[in-house]
Amino acid sequence: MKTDILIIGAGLMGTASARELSRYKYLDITLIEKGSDVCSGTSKATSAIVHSGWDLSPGTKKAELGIKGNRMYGDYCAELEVEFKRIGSLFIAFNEDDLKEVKGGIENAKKLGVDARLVEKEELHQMEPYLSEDAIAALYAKDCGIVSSFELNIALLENAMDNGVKFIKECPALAAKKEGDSWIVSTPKGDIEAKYIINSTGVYSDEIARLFGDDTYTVGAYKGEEYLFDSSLSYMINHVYETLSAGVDLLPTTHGNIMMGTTRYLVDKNDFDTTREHYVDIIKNAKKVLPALPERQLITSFAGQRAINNLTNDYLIGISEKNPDLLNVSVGSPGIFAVPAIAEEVAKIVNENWMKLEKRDDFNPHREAIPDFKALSNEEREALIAKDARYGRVICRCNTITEGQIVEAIRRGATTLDGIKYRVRAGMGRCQGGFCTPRVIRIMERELGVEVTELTKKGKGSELMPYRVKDFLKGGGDK
Amino acid sequence: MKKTVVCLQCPFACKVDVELSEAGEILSVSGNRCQRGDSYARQEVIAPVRVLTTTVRIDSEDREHPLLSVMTSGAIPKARLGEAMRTLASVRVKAPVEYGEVVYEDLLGTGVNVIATSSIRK
Repeated sequence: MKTDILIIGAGLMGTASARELSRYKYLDITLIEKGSDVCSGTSKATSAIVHSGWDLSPGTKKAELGIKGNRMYGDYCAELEVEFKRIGSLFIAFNEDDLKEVKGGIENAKKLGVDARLVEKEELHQMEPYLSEDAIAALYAKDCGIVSSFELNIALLENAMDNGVKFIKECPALAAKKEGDSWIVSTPKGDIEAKYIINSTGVYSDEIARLFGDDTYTVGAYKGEEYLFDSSLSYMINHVYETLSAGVDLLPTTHGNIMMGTTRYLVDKNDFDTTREHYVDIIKNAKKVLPALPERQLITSFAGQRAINNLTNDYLIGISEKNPDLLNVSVGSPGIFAVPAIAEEVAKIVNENWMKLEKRDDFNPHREAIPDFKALSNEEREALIAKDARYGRVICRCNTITEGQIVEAIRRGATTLDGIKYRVRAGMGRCQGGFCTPRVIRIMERELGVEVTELTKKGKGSELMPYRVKDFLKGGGDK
Repeated sequence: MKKTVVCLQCPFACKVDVELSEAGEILSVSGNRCQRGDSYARQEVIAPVRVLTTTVRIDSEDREHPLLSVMTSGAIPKARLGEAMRTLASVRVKAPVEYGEVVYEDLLGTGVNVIATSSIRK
């Protein structure tokens, strides 16, 4: 198949770039992803923080695009119907050394034009009644926010596709060669002929760049472990906590959980383990900051890999020196806050280097979210059920997710258990899928017309039920 | 040699000792408080039997319940349980089925039937 621009990697950067480019006329855009769904890599395992940028180095792309992105976030998420809460952050000082950093941070923020002010002990404890008495002051950055990074990733893809972007999953780029004016990229789903390539493959960015003749950088995966508490604890924390001497970050999530973390150490690209060793440190530190935090209410953990390149601490976004048809988008950390701005930056680079971009009149920036039954009023719920009775059947009890939502998630492309989980949150609550999983499986069998033996959690290698027990016995049992 | 068996016939759970000869004949039984223990121990040592509880596939309108819970109407040789499971794996019953109904006769020629232990009515 032929396309104008091939975007490799459907994480936040790939989908945001695809959507941004779909604003312009006559562009055939294809987005491919090696995973079995959109948002299979780092984008689904982030800290969810939309930083204000107070601690960034002035003059860097990170500062420019991060701060610009932060300011765009409200409107960006509103048009995509993704929940974004600008709750503000507190960089909390527990001793004199911390306090020096707080004051230095305020000065730095001033240089960057980021709103950051000193909050003294009394005001701090009014803002955060459960915060440890040992906290003496904080840097308060009101523009910091929280978002659900996987919801944003999925919304970006839906809107991009609505505006004409072709999406192919389970489609890794295996090899590439130039033929005339175009690149022939071979994938398990056939060859793709493209004039231009955007490389947004996260921790694999160096490997993909190399396919196209660019061996100028390497990427290391720096693992960050995160731990989630039950959403009944959301009253304990109102802002994003950043600390230095306390060695832990704590924040509420958009779903009302408390999240704590993190770590930062180099790992193999297939290492996503959360470890007892780091958990023990993190919870010890967290209890010093939030003494009332009940350890028993921990519901799950996950780890994400930061894609850190070896050339710079800044973003690596630009046309490859080795290949004028290749645009590398290698974003380390933090990256979430810059998404809207990086999307625009990508379009700017395309316009300046590859082709003149002309805006379309028929671009639709609005994406409608799947209704969140839990958040609706009783009247809204009744109206929804009147339209579709399946919204009246609760499947995930922890989060009050209905059959209607699950069916809609499948209609929008979910073919795995995780695909449903990340679209409507069934399985993310206190019981972690213990109650809803068999019910979700039944719905998937019915809607997809398959048997459970064909279903997976997240693609090949994660089969839910490789065989039925009766078939196993018929085949001889233990033989 | 001595074999010790815990009798299951009542909550006392007597530990019953059975003395066996070299040839495997029962020489004596002791430790039981009643005759049921004596019979149970002898059977268990020479030819253990078990009641099998399992499931069979059922075709019904209800996707939630593709399996019907069943049990054997009596005990069958313990050594043949694997064989019994492999045989029952191919059994498909059609709804409606009532609790207690025979769904399979004469399992492995033992004379024991397989009966439904729940009702699936449609």
